[in-house]
Amino acid sequence: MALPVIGSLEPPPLVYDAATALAILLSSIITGFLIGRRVRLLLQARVSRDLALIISRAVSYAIYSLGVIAALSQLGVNVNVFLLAGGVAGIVIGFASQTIAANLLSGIFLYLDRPFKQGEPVEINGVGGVLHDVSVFSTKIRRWDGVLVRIPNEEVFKSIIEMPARSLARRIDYQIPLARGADVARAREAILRELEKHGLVLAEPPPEVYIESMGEYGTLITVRYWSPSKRWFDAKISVIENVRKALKEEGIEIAAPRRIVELEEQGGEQDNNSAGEQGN
Amino acid sequence: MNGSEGETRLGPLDEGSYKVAGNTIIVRRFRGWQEYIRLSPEGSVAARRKLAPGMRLLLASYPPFLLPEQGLFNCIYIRLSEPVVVHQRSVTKVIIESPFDYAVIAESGDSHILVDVFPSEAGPPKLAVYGDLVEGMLCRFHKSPVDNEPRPGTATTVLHIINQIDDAASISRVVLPRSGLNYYHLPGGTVRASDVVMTIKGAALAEIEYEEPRLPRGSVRVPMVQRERRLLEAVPYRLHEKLVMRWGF
Repeated sequence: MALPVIGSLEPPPLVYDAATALAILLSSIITGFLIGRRVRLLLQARVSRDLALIISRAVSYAIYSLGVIAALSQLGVNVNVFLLAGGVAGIVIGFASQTIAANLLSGIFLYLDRPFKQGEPVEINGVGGVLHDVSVFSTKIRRWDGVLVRIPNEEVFKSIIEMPARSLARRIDYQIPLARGADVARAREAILRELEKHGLVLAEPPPEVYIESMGEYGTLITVRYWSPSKRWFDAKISVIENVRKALKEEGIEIAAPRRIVELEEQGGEQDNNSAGEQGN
Repeated sequence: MNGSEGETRLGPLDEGSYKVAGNTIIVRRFRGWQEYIRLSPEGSVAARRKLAPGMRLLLASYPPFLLPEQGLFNCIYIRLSEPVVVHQRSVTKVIIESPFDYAVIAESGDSHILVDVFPSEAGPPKLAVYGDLVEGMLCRFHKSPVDNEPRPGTATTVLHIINQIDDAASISRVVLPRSGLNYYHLPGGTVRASDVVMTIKGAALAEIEYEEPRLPRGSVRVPMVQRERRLLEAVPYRLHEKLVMRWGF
């Protein structure tokens, strides 16, 4: 006689599916955590800490998401709806976060390209200063006046970047207007003597002093010399001061706009009928 | 060196005052301590140090790498006043000048501490770029006559030119690396630098190496100060004793 069946030894399907889903979820969490940590450790030696953290988290969350989808699927939930919704949401978020994505990608490419180093003098988009930091989305420059400026990486990537410290020497040009009648040859000699004496003016490439043009107020002289990039500013301010003193000592006049008032006598009366800006 | 004002003499600095390259050096002693003062040519105090008992002060001609601009360069660029033309596959020797700075060094046993440094010639030392503006080198510049008596403030350097190519070579400049360059005080009060061997190996390339010179008895090698020693140990890869340069131009 057969015994009556009072129940199956196998767990009911719902409990089995729930346990499997839980196992999938747990294993995906553990796997995501371990792989994420491994990715972060691998990347830390190659890219910045911030970028390594973001990439490792993205990897972890991708694995968690796959685990959630697999777990839901195990429970009999139709995940196609989620995938479709996720796809639509992805497109919407993609459009909305275009700038963020562009900045992120630019940041990654800047890391790979490494066009500049932290602490290096740079000029990006007309903003000059010392490079403070390059993060995932932006580049920060401490401007010469001390203000910290944040520039989005997308803009940095597209910009012309000047890196003056990469050259050993930097050229400095001045223009000095000499008054009409000034002895140009003597002025040239005095300027060259000053440049020769100055320790921050390089001997090679040699300095040059030449007539640029004959202007309204006199002769325009160009002074051109090279200086070590690291002492460029010191050279710029001290040389012009020395040159000014040297020209003054030589009695060479610098041109300046002058107003000459000519007085003419008309019928016994004085009249200043002629006044205007003229060269001397 | 005794304490009378007069001609510059290299070596130990005892109590007294000395005229060196327009500067006035004053060394005073008080209860075993020494005070070192340097007055600039304009008369202002340019350097002042106090030294513990037992330290000895030396005035030395030092390779020109200790001035504040030292971080900028690691070589000496010597432009010859006129080019030296060397026959194909031949060896020749010329005397050139190498610049130095005056260094005041405190000696304590085997250790040498830099107390002060100032240029030997009138006016500030000049710099020049050798080679490309990005890939080249920033060097201390010196324009040297060839086969002349060395001028004050310069060391005698013997330049051996070995031409290994089948063409005559016209040498107009020599670049000396920082590392390996030694200066010596000779008994007569003159200064001698390491000999320079320039081996012309190609149409434009020459190799520069140092060789220790044969010196008269009583010559003294200028000791290396600790700062220089540390720098050479810290960044040896930048400061090779051998250098390959382009000759001519």
